[in-house]
Amino acid sequence: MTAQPILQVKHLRKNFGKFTALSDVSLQVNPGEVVGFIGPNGAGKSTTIRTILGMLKADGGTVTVFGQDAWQDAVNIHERLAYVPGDVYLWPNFTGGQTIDLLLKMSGQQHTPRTDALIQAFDLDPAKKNSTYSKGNRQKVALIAALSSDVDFYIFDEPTSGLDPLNENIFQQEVARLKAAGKAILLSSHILSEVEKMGDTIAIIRQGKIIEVGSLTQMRHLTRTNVTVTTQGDLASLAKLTGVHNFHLSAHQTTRATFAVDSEALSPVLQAVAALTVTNLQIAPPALEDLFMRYYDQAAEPEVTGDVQK
Amino acid sequence: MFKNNFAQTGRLLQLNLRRDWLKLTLWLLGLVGLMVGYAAAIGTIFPDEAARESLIATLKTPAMVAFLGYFPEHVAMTDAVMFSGEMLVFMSLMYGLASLLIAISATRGEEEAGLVELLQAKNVGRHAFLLAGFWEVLLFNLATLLLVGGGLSVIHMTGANLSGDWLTATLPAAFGLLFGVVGLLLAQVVAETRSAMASSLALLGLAYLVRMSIDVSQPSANWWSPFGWLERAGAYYQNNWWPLGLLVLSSGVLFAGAFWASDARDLGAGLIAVRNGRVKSRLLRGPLTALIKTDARSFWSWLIGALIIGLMYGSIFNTLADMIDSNPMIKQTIGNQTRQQAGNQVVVTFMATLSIVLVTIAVIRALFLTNRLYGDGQLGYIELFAAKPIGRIRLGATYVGYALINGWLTLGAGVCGLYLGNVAVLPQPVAAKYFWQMFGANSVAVLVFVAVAAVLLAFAPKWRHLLLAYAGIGFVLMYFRNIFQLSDQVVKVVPYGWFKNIPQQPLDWSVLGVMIGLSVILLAVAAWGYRRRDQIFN
Repeated sequence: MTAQPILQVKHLRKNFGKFTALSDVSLQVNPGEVVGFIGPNGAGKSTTIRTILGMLKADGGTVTVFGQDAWQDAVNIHERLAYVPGDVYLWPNFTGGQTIDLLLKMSGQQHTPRTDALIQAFDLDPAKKNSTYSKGNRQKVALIAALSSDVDFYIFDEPTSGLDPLNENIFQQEVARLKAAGKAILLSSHILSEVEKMGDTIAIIRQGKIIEVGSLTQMRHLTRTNVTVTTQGDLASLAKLTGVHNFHLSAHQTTRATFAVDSEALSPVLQAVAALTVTNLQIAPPALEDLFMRYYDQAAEPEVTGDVQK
Repeated sequence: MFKNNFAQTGRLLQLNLRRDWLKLTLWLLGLVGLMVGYAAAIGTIFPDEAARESLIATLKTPAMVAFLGYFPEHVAMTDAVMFSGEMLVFMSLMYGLASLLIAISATRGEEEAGLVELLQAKNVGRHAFLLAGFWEVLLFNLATLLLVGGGLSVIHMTGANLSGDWLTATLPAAFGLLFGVVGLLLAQVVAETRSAMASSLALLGLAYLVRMSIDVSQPSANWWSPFGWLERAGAYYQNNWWPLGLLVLSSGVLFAGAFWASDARDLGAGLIAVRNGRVKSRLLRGPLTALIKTDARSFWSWLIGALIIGLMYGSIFNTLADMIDSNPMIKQTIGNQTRQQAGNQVVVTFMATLSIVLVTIAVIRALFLTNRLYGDGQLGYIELFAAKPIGRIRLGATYVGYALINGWLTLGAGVCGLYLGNVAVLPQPVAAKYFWQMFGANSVAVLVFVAVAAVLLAFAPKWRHLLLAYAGIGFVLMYFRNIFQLSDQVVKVVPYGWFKNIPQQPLDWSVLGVMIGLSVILLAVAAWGYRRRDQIFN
């Protein structure tokens, strides 16, 4: 399955006039892989995706999809790809049903029973005009058309930004189904938890540059685990241990504290806690938010930089 | 109750004025400049009696009456009377256009952009936007009134009087207010900015067309159209002020209607609700069919509009032919057969002037559609196409091709209407071949415009609106070339200047050939440029 990556982006650069939108983006998506593409607003996620789709012309680097050049062979590539834009704008006087069929037909796809099942699952009224849909419903229209396409590569640009948790869940199940079927999926988001749930590999973009790529487990070691603990002994001594950050002792009692532990220092710190006889312990799993925050803080907190190197 | 409805109207108005200042200033400069500028120049443009005589004769021809309005008979022709006869109707059309565009963007436009929702959650009254829009239109028209009135009284044209000066300044301003209020009303009735614009423009156009057909046949009945009210005022020679009362009164009634509609509807909705549609469409399968479906309403409006304008002009052909008949000298010297031929000759000459109206309509329609290649990108539709296996050339060609075909269809509808009018009113109609020539030559002009528009879209989409201005200037040059006494070289700056005498003279294939060749080259250049540039989105 690893014979050829579906998407291969190497050192992509893109300028808009004097403004450098992308300075160095490298990215790879393999069959059966879900790549989460995360970054803050304006980092260059949509620009990267539009270059992959051959809508923007790269100023440097290469972008190949299915081994073909993204700009030159756009039409061939698009036959085997489905895309949902970040902001879905639809022709106001068409109904949702008509729009789904139009989007399918243009891809050379059929309206199948799957399409109907998806319309039902997402609870969309296909008889309504697009102009009367909310943002979430417009997004559903584009998602249904993309998810019921039988193609090899799926690109979703912030797909769940307008969906409610119920629909978000359905979307996640669909992505899992596609992954199981060996499809390649690129999923951009600034909502880290959704990428965390679905992504095998995470690529982090910031200011037009990929700053980190790796599997979730690879990245976890860069993160900190949040611990809230109540013991019988005095916890104040913990603050001095290496790998303990943001240590806060409860105001009323010295036997209750919250702190963050570097993942690699978890074991010695927990042993020290256990020695104090634990009465209550809560451990929050490392969220990508924490990792992300460490990148955000880079400028403010120079000591973190050293930790980031792999 | 008052606070609930109108709170913060003043602040909204302030915001509107700050946002729209450039638009308002440009309109103001344009309108006041044309009025005051022409008033200042009229004495020097036509200094001698001969020039004035020929101008007056031109203004009394049906082509000019149809376009500029009824020209008074049996009145001493001073500069002032000529000025009001030439300017009132046409400038009021412009005032009306400006006002309704301002009114709709200040109300329904803001609502569609989500601004109303944002602000209505604060302590802004329910009808504050409507009232602020009204104030904006009112202030705009008051400003033109004061500037034009002041300008005219300072210039003091030959034969002018103070009452006439201020009447001439007030009438278009009141007319502007009327159509501004029409815009406000329709912005409440329908749910989309585009529909509000389309329907109020249609009303303005209808009023203009009704006046056109009445003026050329029976000017005394022209109070059927608000444009006729302007003519009824008889500025400078009768100075009736009652039409002004009529304009203000109807504005008041319509504004009350706008309030009622605003009160009866929900935020974001119109009085007329958007209905559900069919789940399936057999038509839709790609960019072309999507374009056809989104454009359907405009398609029919333009086609029918062009046909009606053609019919209107065609139906005054007999008036032209009568001019020959009514001249006893001609009647005596030439026989019956020849007389009819001579009459038809006059009609054919008239057709050359008319074709400029029909081709300008077609060109505007084609340019609007070509520019949608950019507009639809802004709206996000192109992104959906571009992610599909649809090549850029196909995408670009779809929009440009559809624009071209529609330009030709609109031109065809106009010429067809003209022909039908001709057949209906003339005992011995003008031969069809003249109409074919008219269509043939002018369709090349449409092609040239579309090709240039495509090049602009490929290389400098920011400047895409320039062509519309060019088309407008071309229209003024061609239609009024006799009045301005323009040389043949000057009118050749626009494509149709090269065949201004068609269908009077046969087609010059060398000129047309060069134009077609040039257009094909331009289209190829556009395709090359469009293929290699970034797609432009929001």
